Amino acid sequence: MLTADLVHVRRRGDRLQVVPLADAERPRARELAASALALVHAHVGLPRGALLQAWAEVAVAPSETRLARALFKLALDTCEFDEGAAIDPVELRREIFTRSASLRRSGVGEFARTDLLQEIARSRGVDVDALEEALYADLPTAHILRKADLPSPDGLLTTYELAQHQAVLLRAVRLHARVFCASAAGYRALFRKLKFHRLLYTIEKLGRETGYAIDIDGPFSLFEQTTKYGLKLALALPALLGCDTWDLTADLRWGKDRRPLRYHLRGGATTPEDESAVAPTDEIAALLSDLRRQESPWQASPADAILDLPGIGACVPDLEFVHRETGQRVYLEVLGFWSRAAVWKRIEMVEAGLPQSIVFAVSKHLRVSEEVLGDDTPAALYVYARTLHGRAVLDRVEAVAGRPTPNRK
Amino acid sequence: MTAADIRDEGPASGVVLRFVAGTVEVAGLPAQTVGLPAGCVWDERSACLRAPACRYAEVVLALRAMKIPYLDEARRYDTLATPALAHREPRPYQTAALAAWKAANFRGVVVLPTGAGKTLVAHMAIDDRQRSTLVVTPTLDLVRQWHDGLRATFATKIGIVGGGDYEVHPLTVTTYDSAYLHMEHLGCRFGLVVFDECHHLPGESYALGARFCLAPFRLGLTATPERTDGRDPILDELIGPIVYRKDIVELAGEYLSSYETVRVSVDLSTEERAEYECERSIYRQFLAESGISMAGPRGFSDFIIRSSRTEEGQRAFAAYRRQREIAFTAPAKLDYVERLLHQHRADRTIVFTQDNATVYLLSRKFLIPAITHHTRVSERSAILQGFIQGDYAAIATSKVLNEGVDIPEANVAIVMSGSGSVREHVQRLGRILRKGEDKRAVLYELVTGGTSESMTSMRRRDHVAYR
Repeated sequence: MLTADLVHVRRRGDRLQVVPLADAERPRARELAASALALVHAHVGLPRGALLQAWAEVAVAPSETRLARALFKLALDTCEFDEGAAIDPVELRREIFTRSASLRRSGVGEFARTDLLQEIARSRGVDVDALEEALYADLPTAHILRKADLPSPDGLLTTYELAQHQAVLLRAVRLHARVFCASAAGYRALFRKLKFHRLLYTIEKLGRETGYAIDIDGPFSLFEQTTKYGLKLALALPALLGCDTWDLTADLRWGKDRRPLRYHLRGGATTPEDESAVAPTDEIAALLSDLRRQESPWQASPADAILDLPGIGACVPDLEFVHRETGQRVYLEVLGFWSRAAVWKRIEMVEAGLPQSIVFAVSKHLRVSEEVLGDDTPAALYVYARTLHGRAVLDRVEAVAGRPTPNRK
Repeated sequence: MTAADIRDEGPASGVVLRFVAGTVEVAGLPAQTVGLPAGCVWDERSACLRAPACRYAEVVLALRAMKIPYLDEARRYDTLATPALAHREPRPYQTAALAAWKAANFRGVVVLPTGAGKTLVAHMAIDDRQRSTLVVTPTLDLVRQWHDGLRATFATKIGIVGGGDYEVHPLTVTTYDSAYLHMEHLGCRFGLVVFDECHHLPGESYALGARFCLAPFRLGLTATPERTDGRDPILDELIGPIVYRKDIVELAGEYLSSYETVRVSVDLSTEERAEYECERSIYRQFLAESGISMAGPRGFSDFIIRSSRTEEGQRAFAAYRRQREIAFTAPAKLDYVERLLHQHRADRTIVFTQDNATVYLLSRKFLIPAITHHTRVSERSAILQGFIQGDYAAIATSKVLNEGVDIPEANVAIVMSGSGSVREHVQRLGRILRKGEDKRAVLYELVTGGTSESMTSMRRRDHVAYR
């Protein structure tokens, strides 16, 4: 992730724009990326301080400083460092400093630093230089670069371009997006990511179009334009990029004076979909596996549908259950411990006439009672402690299937 | 009806207060409800009224005034199971401070100099209110110190949130950083919150931590509430007004150690002077040509931005750093520190610097322990313990020991370098002022004569404690 000072932006009135790399700049940017990567590669096995020093000595024109620093930061983000000291520095310091204090307290003459270090070095079987080196070997600058998972120069530039947008979103107080996906998988990946980051969102179908409008922020943004949710918004951006077509508008607080600015971004599916986000989460994969072990007329599979109630909102179920004989469908949305407000929103949708049968699985940490939804609705809450149990889900699926939906009344 | 009884009731049961992510939801009332506090507004997203958690007490009082019955699921704090088991005799000003806080409806800031015993005022406040309490401090050192103090007074398990720990008990200590991160979950679990060194609180993020907390009772402690950014009035909103104040000079002698401050001016050698003047002229010339005034509020940030744009600017920035380095770490200063360490070898000396690099330079040169933000908590504790016991006669530090940390044995401070901040300079003096038998504290301030450091020194000494 980049910090705001490493982002190349320009202001146009009340708008902020990321300045993309121009075609003419790209070869030089690739050179800088290659230099940063080569420098990191050359320092594997050496202290961080040596790498930082070497980078400080790389000649870069003032106009390129920000780009170069950003690329170096992203290259550095791929590195793994650890302490390389053979002598325990904390223990060494304790010995040297207590003996030094004792010597100084008793000494009448000059403090004999060298004599003391030589004596301790001798007793440890090392030379004084090794002792001096080990004294603060646990400081970050002394940490040894063990491994770097370095991309290609072009790969680093791709990372840089995404990181520019993410760094802007770090200063976002709320985000409005319109997304269009050819399949429900894209939507599910997006909404799962939003839930994962515990962001609050409202979604609405876009008129006669196929996409959805989403407003994303956190509970406190009602009172104060806070950038507290900025990191989560930035981390959710890759999921947005996985949609086939999308655009977003973010309200920012930019700069030291937190000036209110707007930021627009749009794109198509230029970024490969995040497979890990589309694949079922571990929790749902475990539930599916448990369901397959149960004897039941209901067959469970990942859901493709988006359940939409115009004017109220939409929800994105995780699984659908199809009755093997009647073909009846019941959905399951796992809300987990995401947001209590989201549970109330679902209840509101059910009460407003959601036409599908659905079970909402909610962690007990959200402190919602299953009785909140009455027996006269085609929906049920399943409050679970730690693990989703297939049998318990099937019981509720069976229960809601027997109730009339607004369409079937 | 117990809290467990009401937990699972839904909004259909009437008016329900809930704590949600740093806010208080008021479910069951229509959007147009009048009589609620100004910060309580309708939230379309969850179809309920919502207020920042810090408005909780006002919401409750408003509902009571309107005689609207409600279920309170928001408040999740308890009455303490046991009162304080150890009682230290308070000094008269500590009793007066507590009385002033109580008279202000248990909300407000107590201003006392370092070493005057602010912690005891907080212990007395906790004992008076008997509510689950969260203590928020600026550093992990202080977390540890508060933890030990509360355990000794209340003889119960004390929670810690921060520095890798996450253990919540009715008495819990955390840092401002952790409070900002976790208050949206923890903000309902404490009835009293104590903000130690509360001049930190008005920062944008930290303030949010205070707003996410519903504690009706709030106590701020500081020696120096004023901030250079002028945000100190926000303390009024987040904690309450200043309810009690005493300055160093009012307590020195009787309740604090008597002290003297010694300003020592050292000279640069001819070569150092030539290099200093050369570097300074490069830096000054750039400022003049760019029309930047370093005295202005945006002076330094303008300098950073504009110096990064050209090669001349980058050279000017390097010159700026070098001339500071020459003034801050002049060899004559190091020689003087050596002399003072020898002179005070039977005392307990803290050497303060402006930056970590100088701390490690001192540590390596004089073989004394260093404490910076890189020092792990276990090693910090061991160093401070060694210092208290006399295993170490001196420690070097930059800013992490500026405030709060209680080292009664320290009686000599050497300020080798520092900022122009009056607060920092007063806090550094405060580190050696805790009362001890026949203790006389001395603070040495080393300044390189004929450099910009002389002006910095004048600025930071602009306090009654240095007159």
